[in-house]
Amino acid sequence: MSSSVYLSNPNVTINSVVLQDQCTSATLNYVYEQLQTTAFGDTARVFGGSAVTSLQNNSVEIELYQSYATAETEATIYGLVGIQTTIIVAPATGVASATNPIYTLTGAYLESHTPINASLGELSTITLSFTGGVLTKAVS
Amino acid sequence: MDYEVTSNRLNGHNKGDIIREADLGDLTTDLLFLVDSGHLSPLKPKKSAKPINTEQQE
Repeated sequence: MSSSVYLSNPNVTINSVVLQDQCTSATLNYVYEQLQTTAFGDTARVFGGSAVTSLQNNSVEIELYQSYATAETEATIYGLVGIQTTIIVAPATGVASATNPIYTLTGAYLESHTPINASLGELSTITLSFTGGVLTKAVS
Repeated sequence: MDYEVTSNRLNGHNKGDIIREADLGDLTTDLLFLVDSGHLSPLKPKKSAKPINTEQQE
């Protein structure tokens, strides 16, 4: 293994609000839907092709500590349910570069949110699943 | 309309900054959402001072 990534200080921004210090996990899935282009003469299944462009089907899952304080997690997230917003995720804070690509998911939809998710003796957390939207990657 | 940043969580801005909607380029929700959630406060335009009448009355 020539290199590895240990994410300790990633940038997580939801609807222009930086929630990095409340975030413990972020998973970004970059997906183009699989379209079958198999035709007569093929001897194996064929998917996609240079002239075939399918739809993006992206998603991002973010886990946050819950906080009901002013301008914290609950105040920032509650109103986003049922609408589209923009998510920004990067391996580190700072400007975009080849070693710190900034991924922006524009038009991501938040279907649900769990305002109360608490157990005795544990910090309350929420897991948000944003789906859809167009993903762009900035390296400069 | 100008807005004052009222939290330390707004991307690229600090608490106390005065910004306009255009300064939040990647925002896709209504700006009022950030007002309601405590990140922005609208700045009310200041009323102009009343003019002082310096003419002497007869």
